Formats: sequence, C-alpha cells, structure tokens
Amino acid sequence: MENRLLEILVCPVTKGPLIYDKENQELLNTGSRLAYPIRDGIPVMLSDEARSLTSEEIENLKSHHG
Amino acid sequence: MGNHVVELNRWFETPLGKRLLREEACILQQVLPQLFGYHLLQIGSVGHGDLLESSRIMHRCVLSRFAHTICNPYSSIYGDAEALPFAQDSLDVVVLPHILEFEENPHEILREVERVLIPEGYIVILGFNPFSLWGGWRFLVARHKTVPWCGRFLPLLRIKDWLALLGFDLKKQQTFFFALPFHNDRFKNYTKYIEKIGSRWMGNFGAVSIVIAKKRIATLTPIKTNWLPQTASLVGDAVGTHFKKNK
Repeated sequence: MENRLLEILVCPVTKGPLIYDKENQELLNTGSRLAYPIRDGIPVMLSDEARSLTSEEIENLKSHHG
Repeated sequence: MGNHVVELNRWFETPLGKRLLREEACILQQVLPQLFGYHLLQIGSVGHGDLLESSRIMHRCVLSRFAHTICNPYSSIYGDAEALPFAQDSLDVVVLPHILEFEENPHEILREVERVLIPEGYIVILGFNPFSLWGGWRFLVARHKTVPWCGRFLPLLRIKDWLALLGFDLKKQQTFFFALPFHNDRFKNYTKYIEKIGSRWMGNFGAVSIVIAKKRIATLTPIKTNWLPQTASLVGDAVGTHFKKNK
C-alpha cells in the first residue's frame, strides 16, 4: 500500500487515525474498535466489511502505540 | 441505489456512454491542468474510462463502493461516498462524475467533500442537466426505467444553492454535449447537425453540466491592542456639575 495514501486515510466512522498492521494487512482504529481489511493492496474502508477488534487486541495496540 | 451505480458503469461501456465520456474528458482537459495540489480524489468510477488523465496532480485516487467497478491505473479505495475515509482538510481536488444523481443523499456527499477538502481546494461536479434534450427524453419516454434515466437529474440552480450553503465560491459553470439521447447509426448525420446548432445557439441546454467551485474559509482578523491612554469623556464632568448645582 502506498505511503501517501496511508497519510490521508482515517476511519470512516470516527474519523480517527488508523494503525497499519503490515503482517495481517489490516488498518486498525481503536476508537471505533474496527479492523479494515486490505485486499490486493486496496483498502476496504466499509464498516460493514470490517472486523471488530477484541478488547485484548485494543489493549495491545494501546500499549504499543500509546 | 447501489445497483444503479453498477449499471451506470456498464452504461459507460455502450457507444453512447463512451462518447459522453470522451466529451467529458475533453472538457476536463481544459480545467484539471490548472488545479494543483498533492491529492486528487474521484468519487465513483466511470466504467473503463479515465477522466483524470489531464490532471498534473501526482497522487490520484478513485473511491468506489463496489469491487468490480474500479478499473483505473490510480490508487483505489473501497468506501462509502457519505462517509469518506479521509482526514479533514486533506485533499486538494475532488471530482464527482455523475454520483449525485444516483445516491440517496446528494447533499450529505457534498457536506463530506467540504470536510475533506483543504481551504481553497476545488470541487468539480459533472451531472446530467434536466433542462436539456436528455432531460426531456427522460421525462417523456424513458422515465424511471434504465440507467441513466432512473437517476435524479439535479438542476444547476440547486447544485449551486447547496454549494453556496456550504461556503463554496462558484468558479465556473457550463453545459455541453448536444447529441441525441439514444444511439442509432441511421441518425448519425442528424446528430452532427444538432450538435452544431446546440453548441452554437443553446449554450445552457447541454445534456451534461459541469460546476467548479472553490472552498472558502473565513479567517479571524486579529485586532491590534490600543496602547494609548483613553481620552477623558465629557459625561462624568457633566454629571458632576449637575449634582453641585442641586446642593
């Protein structure tokens, strides 16, 4: 995924910043507790298709990214 | 409304749709090279057509709701036009090709575009004009049946009103494309004749309208502090003398 696209992307629900998970190819947002998938390099920014994050994952994210 | 977007993409692959796209790309060629910035977004795709070719902006992206409608060489995003996944004040130019007619809440989309555009950023809207041969054809013959006739053709005045409400400054408006609203080789010469007359005499009644507007933000004007001492007012003295007289 392109860096310049990552710079301007936010969560469509909360408009909060996203965390790029390179391994799982996902964009995570702690505010809305959603993980948006990236399919073939194209981010799917639809809340219906997003996976909801577990509280453990959110705590991990918060400890790693502040 | 979602199905209409897919159907519209298919319609742009028909001979008439392709011709319309060519004309639109031609008009955009006069406009887009003058709009600079870092990021350009097109909301909704137009078949295999490419409207952004003439733009000089390096990063161009296309947002669409359906996977099979995106087929452009630019960066693609799947998303909803009413909930744009872009940060506030992040895009320089946003192009809306025939999206307002086929979405349920066109005003909501404009509001979202206003949010993501930087101050002094540009919005470019392409839409079908109801006050044209195509609008009449839709009303009389092909009403509410197939794409593009099932869309809500928005009058230029309404679009301008919405834009003014959101604080946009209108830069350009124009209508174009005077061809017949159906494709038939038998009428080929006739179409050419109509197009010639239309572009010469009926400038405001073209089938497609283009609106270009600039986002304006009113900034606060700082007021300088007045360091000089205030001159004494006359009111206090006047009251004083009045009291003295009474005593």
